[in-house]
Amino acid sequence: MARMLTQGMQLFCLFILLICGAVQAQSNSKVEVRLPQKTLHFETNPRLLDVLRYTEHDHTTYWPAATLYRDSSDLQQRHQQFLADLAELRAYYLAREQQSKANAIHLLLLQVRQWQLAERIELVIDIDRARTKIQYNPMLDDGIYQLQLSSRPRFVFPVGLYRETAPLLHRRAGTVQDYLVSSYRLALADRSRLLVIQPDGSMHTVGVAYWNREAFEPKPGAQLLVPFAERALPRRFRHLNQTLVELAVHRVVIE
Amino acid sequence: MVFMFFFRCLASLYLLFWLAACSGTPGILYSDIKTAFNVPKDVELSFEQVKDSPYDILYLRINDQARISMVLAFLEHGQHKWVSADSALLIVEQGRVVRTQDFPAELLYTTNTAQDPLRLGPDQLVSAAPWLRLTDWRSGSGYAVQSYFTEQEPELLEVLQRQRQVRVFTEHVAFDKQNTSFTNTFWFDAASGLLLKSRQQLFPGGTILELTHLSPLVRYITTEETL
Repeated sequence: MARMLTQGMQLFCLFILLICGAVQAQSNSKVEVRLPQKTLHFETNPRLLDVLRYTEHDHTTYWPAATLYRDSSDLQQRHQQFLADLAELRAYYLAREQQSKANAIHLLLLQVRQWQLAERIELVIDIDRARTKIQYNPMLDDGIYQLQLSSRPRFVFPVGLYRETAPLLHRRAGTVQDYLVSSYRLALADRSRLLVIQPDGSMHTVGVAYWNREAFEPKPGAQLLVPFAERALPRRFRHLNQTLVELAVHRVVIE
Repeated sequence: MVFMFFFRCLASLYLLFWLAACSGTPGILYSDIKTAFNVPKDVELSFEQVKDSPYDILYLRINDQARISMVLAFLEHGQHKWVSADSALLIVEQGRVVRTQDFPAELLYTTNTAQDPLRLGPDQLVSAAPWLRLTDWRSGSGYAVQSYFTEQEPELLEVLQRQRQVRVFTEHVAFDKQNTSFTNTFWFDAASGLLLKSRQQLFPGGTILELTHLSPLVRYITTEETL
């Protein structure tokens, strides 16, 4: 009887230990940060500086383009849905024998399919700011992150309804106009405005027509997005313009 | 006479009420008045204070404002990172300001700093090839800047209450996009070759930063005196 009681006590203690362990495991964080050369694992939520300390940075590191992304299944679903919508839109134009529009959608579909998407964290990433001001050194929530850190980017990236989407060399003090060649747009493209997504994620609408032309300077690593013209799409597809912009903001730009 | 006195009292009262109208609380009113009458003075350190400081110290004057001191917070990858009391940062390579944080007209990046003739020291500055770099600003990127150096007549420069013989160099700077130019000045200690002071403009018509490097000179003089 005493032996059974002892065994019972041991089982009870084991049970308590397992529960405590589970609670402990739940209270621990799970932060993983992927860097180009290695992956960092943190058992407690790190501050930004804890991550930056492990990065390979030097005097050539271009902090204005440093970006932190977090894996997002929601974004992947939106990506897939967007591709499906584009395929449906292409079929819509093909059924009506609007070949140039169908081709434009096909090219956009091929382009967006290549995009690597992750949630861009709105954060100024700079090791010196993180060291000197607490507001630039926030704690990271649980998640799987990817940190983009590089030397000064050499290119800007045309995206959206561009005919050619090969990266363009960043021009010295160049304005948006310097990157526009004749007939650069596809059918359905907005002819009067272009969106500049700067490397820090900020977005600017820039007039490019003769009547609203603006001298706006994209930074190295910026995306130049040609959106759909307003009302160019059938009513039930008009939301695609906004989705295109939102996905481009979360595109992981790799030079 | 009485009228004038009465008028002055009224004017003072008006000024007081006007100031009060700009302030939410009496405490803020007091600090407003204090600020209005408190003209900042240049920071002035002694040789001993700099020598005893655990940190390297730099004087900085922005345009014609009062001189402040900054301390060396980090020295890494050949960059001296100076921090002010309000956490503004000045990132300097070989005496050249290459990046600023929390300064007017933020300089985000300077390319090609490895070719900066300042790295060669005063003996080779004039013969060095013109230096071309790109500068990125918060408002625009890729502004090309080209410069070369000429030497001026030597001068006497007072640093930490000591007179030093210095070699003076003028950097002739051209901004190609705006087709404008300006000059920077660098003062090198004749005996040690150390850069003691510089007056640097970051872009045409922009802020002028005057840097005086104190700690290297103090270390040099202290070593000389102990030998």
